[in-house]
Amino acid sequence: MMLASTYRHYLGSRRATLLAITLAALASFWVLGLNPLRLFSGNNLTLTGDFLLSAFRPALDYQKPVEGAEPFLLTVINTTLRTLRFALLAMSVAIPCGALLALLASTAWWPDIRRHRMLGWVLRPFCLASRVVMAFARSIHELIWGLLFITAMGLSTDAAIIAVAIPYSGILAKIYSEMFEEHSREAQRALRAIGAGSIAAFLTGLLPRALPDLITYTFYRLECAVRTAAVFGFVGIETIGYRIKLASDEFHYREIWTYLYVLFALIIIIEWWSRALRKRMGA
Amino acid sequence: MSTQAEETRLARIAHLRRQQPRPKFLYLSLLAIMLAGGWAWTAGDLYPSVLTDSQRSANLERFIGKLTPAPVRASGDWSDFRPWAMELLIEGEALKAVGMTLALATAAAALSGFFALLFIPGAARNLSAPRPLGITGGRSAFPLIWGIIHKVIRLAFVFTRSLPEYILGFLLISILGPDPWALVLALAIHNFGILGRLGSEVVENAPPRPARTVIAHGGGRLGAYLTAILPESFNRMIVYFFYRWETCVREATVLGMLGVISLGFLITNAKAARSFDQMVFFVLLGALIVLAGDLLSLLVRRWLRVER
Repeated sequence: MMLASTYRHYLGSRRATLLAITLAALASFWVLGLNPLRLFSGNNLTLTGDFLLSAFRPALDYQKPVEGAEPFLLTVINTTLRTLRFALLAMSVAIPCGALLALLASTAWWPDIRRHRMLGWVLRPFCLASRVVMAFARSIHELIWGLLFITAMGLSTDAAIIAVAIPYSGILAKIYSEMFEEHSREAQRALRAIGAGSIAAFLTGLLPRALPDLITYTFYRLECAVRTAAVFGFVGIETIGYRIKLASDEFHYREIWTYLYVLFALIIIIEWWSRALRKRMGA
Repeated sequence: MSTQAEETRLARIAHLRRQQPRPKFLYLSLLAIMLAGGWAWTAGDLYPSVLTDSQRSANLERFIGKLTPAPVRASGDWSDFRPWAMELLIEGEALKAVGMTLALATAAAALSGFFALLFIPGAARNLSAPRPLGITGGRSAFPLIWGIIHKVIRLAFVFTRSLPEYILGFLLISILGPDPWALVLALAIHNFGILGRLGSEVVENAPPRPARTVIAHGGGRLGAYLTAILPESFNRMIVYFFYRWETCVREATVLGMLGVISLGFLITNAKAARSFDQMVFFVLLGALIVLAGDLLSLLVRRWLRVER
């Protein structure tokens, strides 16, 4: 007891946590052989400088225009729309799947299982199963799902959408179910007490309270989906990533920056929209 | 009497219904989302597939046929699985790749956390103001400058957040060459934006009194941040740190595809060699690490939430 308190005195939980993180970080640097000096060696600095300076002059036309090619800005617009569409497609599959999994995994809408024992025995396996599905779907990255689908069946629109939708459903389900569990149950209990059924009490007592958080998180996921859609360009779908890859192969840094700014603008619009919605929902 | 009571009840319900707020913005947003969804589904294929259905099913058959580990396929006995897996783990460098993946995530999370902590006081609205925390008496030579600092840092947070790790990794490798630094920086830059934003919200929501006391006794903004706000909101910051570490682990398994040893590298190699059994083994190994990372992060967060 005494010993524990003296130890506490010298190494409180804060100091212990910081120390552990610092040590782990140093060990990681050592394992990876990260030497800060290497960042400044060779022509790293000049290349980085070139790249960063291009940020001030994003391209408005091809850096090396080719006769008869689609005008640059038109390509940018088409690529942006395709990126956005990919994100919307993936999210429109992931949201219903995630919501369903979340409902199965959460106990918030359950009737009192102390009184309906049979029902409890029916619901529990579903709850457990959906949690396992959620964890598994989430633990494999969307690009790896994509790679698996491509090796198994070849690239197609559907394969790419499903590859993104699987992990996204898992993540959405996890967060949704946590939100169902975390929100205060007072209104729900009050409704139950005056005779509302368990599902009605969930729909009217808990869901409206959780809705602003659910929407905010869904919008954040849409933002992630836009980024993922951009990354899927590296797999072969002509989204922003595809154009960045092409431009990078020819060292057209200014074209790259145009696409990076487009991505930035998309993210800002989504964030602004999510904020405006949240404000108007009184949260 | 009862009909009259019924009537007043109905009138009251109608009155309440009229009073229900109907924010136009919410309805317009809903409409816009529906239209966008409809457009996304009807605007044609994203990728014109060249494969016919029969080619596709042939592909699938070949893939599934090669899924069971090679020695098991040869002998039909699952006891051959263990030596095969051990060989992959040790001689196939899978264990090394696991270590590298975790190290990438840890180094990147620590780096982004450190730099986010440096920039957070400038991004928090309550500190980065001519009168920090509403304390009167502080006088600033250029009151406008705080607003500018705050906006610029916020914008930098959103910008770095909007760059996907994988694209950053690709660009950094084209600049720095195949160096683990490229991947660490890619993860760190993206997470710097997220941690910075989350952290500055924590600072804005921290109870203002201790920090006000520091400033009222002659301390500066930095002093208030370091001695009053950070200790107060330490646990919340660490919770966010671990949440980001967890996503870094998930992301680090993939970044290896860009050509630096980590699980993603082994996965693409196995795919190129058409050893689908090995590919799936590495994928599942990656899933295992991500789950282990989730679990560790969950335990730490729970521990911190209980600890006071």
